[in-house]
Amino acid sequence: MTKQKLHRRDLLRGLGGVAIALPWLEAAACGYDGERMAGDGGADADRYRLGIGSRREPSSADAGAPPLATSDRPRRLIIITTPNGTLSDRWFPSGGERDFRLGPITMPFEPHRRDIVLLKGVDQKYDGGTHFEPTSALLTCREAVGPSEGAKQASGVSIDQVIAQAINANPMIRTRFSSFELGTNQSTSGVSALAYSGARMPLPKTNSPRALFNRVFAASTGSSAEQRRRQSILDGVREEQRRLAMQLGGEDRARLDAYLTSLRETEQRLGNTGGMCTAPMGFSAGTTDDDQRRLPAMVREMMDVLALSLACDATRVVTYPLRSDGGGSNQTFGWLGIGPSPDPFDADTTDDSSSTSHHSMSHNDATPQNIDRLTRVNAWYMQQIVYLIEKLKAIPEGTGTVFDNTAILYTSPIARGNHSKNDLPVLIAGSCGGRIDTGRFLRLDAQSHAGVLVALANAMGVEMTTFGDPRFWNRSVSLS
Amino acid sequence: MTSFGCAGAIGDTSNDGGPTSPARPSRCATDSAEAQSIGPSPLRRLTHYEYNNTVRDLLGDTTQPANEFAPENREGVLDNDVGSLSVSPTLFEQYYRAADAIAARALEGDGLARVAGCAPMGATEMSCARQFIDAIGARAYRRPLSADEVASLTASYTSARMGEDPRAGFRTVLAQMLLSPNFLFRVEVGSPVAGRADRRRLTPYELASRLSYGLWGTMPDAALFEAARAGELGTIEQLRAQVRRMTRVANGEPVEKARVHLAHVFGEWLGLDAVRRLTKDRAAFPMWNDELRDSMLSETQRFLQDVSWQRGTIANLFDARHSFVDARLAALYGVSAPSGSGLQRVEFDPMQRFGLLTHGSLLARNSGAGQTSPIRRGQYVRERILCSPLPSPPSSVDNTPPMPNPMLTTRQRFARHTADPSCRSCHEQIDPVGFGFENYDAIGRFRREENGMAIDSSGSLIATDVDGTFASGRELLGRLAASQQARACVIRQFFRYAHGRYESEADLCVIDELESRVDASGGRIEELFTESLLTSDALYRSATP
Repeated sequence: MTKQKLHRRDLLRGLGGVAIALPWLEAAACGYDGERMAGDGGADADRYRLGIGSRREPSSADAGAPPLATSDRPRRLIIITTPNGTLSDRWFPSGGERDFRLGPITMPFEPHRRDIVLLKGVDQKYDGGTHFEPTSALLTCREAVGPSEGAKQASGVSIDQVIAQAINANPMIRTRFSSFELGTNQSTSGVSALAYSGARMPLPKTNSPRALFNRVFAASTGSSAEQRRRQSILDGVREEQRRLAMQLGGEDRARLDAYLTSLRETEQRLGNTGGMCTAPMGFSAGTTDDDQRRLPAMVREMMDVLALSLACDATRVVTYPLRSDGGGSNQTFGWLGIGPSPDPFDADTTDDSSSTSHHSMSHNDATPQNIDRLTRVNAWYMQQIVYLIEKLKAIPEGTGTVFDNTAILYTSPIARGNHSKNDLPVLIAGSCGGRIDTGRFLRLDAQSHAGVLVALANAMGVEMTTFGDPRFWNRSVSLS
Repeated sequence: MTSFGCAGAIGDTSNDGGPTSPARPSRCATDSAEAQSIGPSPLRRLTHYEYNNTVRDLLGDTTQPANEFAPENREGVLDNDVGSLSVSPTLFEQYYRAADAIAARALEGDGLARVAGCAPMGATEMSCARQFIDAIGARAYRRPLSADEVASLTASYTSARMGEDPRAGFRTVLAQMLLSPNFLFRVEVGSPVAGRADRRRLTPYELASRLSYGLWGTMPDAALFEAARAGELGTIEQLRAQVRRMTRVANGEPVEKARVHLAHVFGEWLGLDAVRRLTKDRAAFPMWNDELRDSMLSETQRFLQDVSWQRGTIANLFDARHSFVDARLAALYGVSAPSGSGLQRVEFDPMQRFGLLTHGSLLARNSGAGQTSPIRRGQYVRERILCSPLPSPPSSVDNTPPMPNPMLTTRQRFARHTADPSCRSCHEQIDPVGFGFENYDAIGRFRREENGMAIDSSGSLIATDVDGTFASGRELLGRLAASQQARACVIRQFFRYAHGRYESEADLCVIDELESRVDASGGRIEELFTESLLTSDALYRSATP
């Protein structure tokens, strides 16, 4: 079993000594000096709670983010990805910083051009693997580890979780769900997660709009008897965890810590803290399966439920890969006329250069036929993001709208179907409450993508100067 | 010469970041009954499969609640690899809901009387609650409860029952037990061993769980609990006696739970789950349908069961001439249809087919939808049969399979791998093995030609213990059947499953021991299955800092 060094920076602490611990990491090996990782109390937990601990290494990456300051406006970050790269010359705009001209794929954003920032010259510096590794590295900026292709997982926490925990650590602004991990399928081999709560701890996704709806809107607090029973059960197992943790050492205790953290999250989610969300009359989300043929309906419904959830502040951090990267699915786009037969929803089961599945086309993206198809496919994906923008612009908030206080990051784990990782498509929609100067096209020079993520974390109010593996970092980016 | 270290073999540490299969140790004490060193003993969460079985055996709940849980992240190939078994907030929430629902179901109707074993009414209520906590708690946590635990659960009962009826109290207590880390994890605290700081002695109850999860994938039965209680689970001999009871019934038939669990372990090793989801190009293979696919899976499962429990050996997995077919499979294999329905034993023509690797299930699994995949087949053999996986291709590589070409055979289309120097070092270990299977098409049918050209299934094995050229697929199969590396790899898979993790340096002598015992039996599968739980480290866990 490989062992990893645990760095102080990899651990986040919030109030009460809550730790997002990382199993399989030998705490004793890495300078924790017997610091207890489980349970409440302890002098070190106090130091962290007061923010002293996090200042020991002021310039380190992923420094334990102190709790987010309370402010009068909530900010949101939504990270959306698409699979199998894109066609660079059709995605990137041309022209200057403010007078850019959108390409055929990004043209759907034209009505919102003043609210977007496009970045060119952003690279994933981690060069491992084809689909799974870049996916795991996209938000963690760390290499993937594991016994074989398809079974690799990121070796650190993802930035969305860092932000989510910073929000969660402040009881004044903590949301009922610390984050949403949404998706439209579970990859059949390995894990295709973007979000990691720690090394080799990918977070499972909510794949169906109805499941998300039920989690957020269904009367989950239940009757007062149910609430009491729930509290009693959770209190009981918390006590059992505490007793058990005292009998175990090192790694085992870390594994138990993940249990404790999850317990606290669940307590929050099940409505014992924070407000309830109620859905508008007549709204329902019917889609349940992740049938790839129903992709348009699923994505639309998911965006609808997401918009409603953001409106009632159920969460402020969302990751949503619209489709998992890689060739596992036979995803075709019959509704765009791209498929193996006249049946608009026939999946393509061939896997060679003539195939119309997304993965196969992306590996044969030099033929005129596939250039046309991939342009339409990727433009369709962009339209789904525009749909979300429009939904958020329609929800009033303060003197503006929910969109005004949001940043949507669109990017992709790989740049092109051939798995190249340089010159990723990067688009940010929304100013995140005025922190981002939008309406621009920026040309950067071999910029490590971690820099963009840090800029977004800063826009969300989380202080950090670097993130991830130092080997994959070159410089910061300013978005304001 | 290359940056990918393509010299895979057991003993090679070139696989960076992955589980290395360390080399044979030079000195293992052969005379000591005590293991020289104990490998890691990580805290193991119940797998979803184990959770379903445990809930079934604890409360009679057969609804398989874990099927709704977020799928496990599969870090390793086997479902119980500890790397895959973390608790996320989503999973915890699912555990919570499941615990509540299972408890409600177990106690509805006359369930309360049945599960509690007493009627909680009036004056007898508290003593009944206490009895329930003691009895069910001991089974749920797989060991007697401490006084503190009983007090704490009793307090939960009392507070939940206030203003409600006794059923509410029982439901709360039962749900708490099902959500407890003592239920969800296989806790092994053990006790110190005089003079050995590197290990702790497992308690009888902990040993009971090791046996039951190792042989049955579920919690201990009453006999195991009783043996633990009576102090009769403390020596290897006592464990062995239990193991015998747990695997063979008096009339010689396999114990059902052992039969089912061993089938599960094979399924994990061979990746049979993927066969369930196979789709093929119907235009190219009109014969293919879901029923054929299901038959293929049944054939392989039936074959494995037959080899396992009829004194079959590891070598038999690869050299057996028989299998089990129904009418559909008979048509696929070109043998005469059996009489009657269901699977019947058949002898294959050894010139065409023998052993597990020529089953339709694996051949179809390791193919594309419309064409064979020498890469997948070669990689499968290297990874799962020889335990020497190769690293992923470099990121700049375009790995779409080449387009079918009516002028060329599959072998010819893939020739670039070995022609291109930057591809060769890895692909010369993968492709030739895959080409050896080219006589079987993408759904496993035997063929002598492709696109009108004769199939060439010759090749060579590199970086194995049976290296050298082979003239045909048949010769390749024979080599693999004789390979000591393959045999050692199968043994490793069972070691990994028994321990729930990849092997480490500290395990090498134990693995040596296991290999010797399996060899002494002639390589019997049943021996491998049972002995993997009875090696000299069986009574211990490693002591953690």
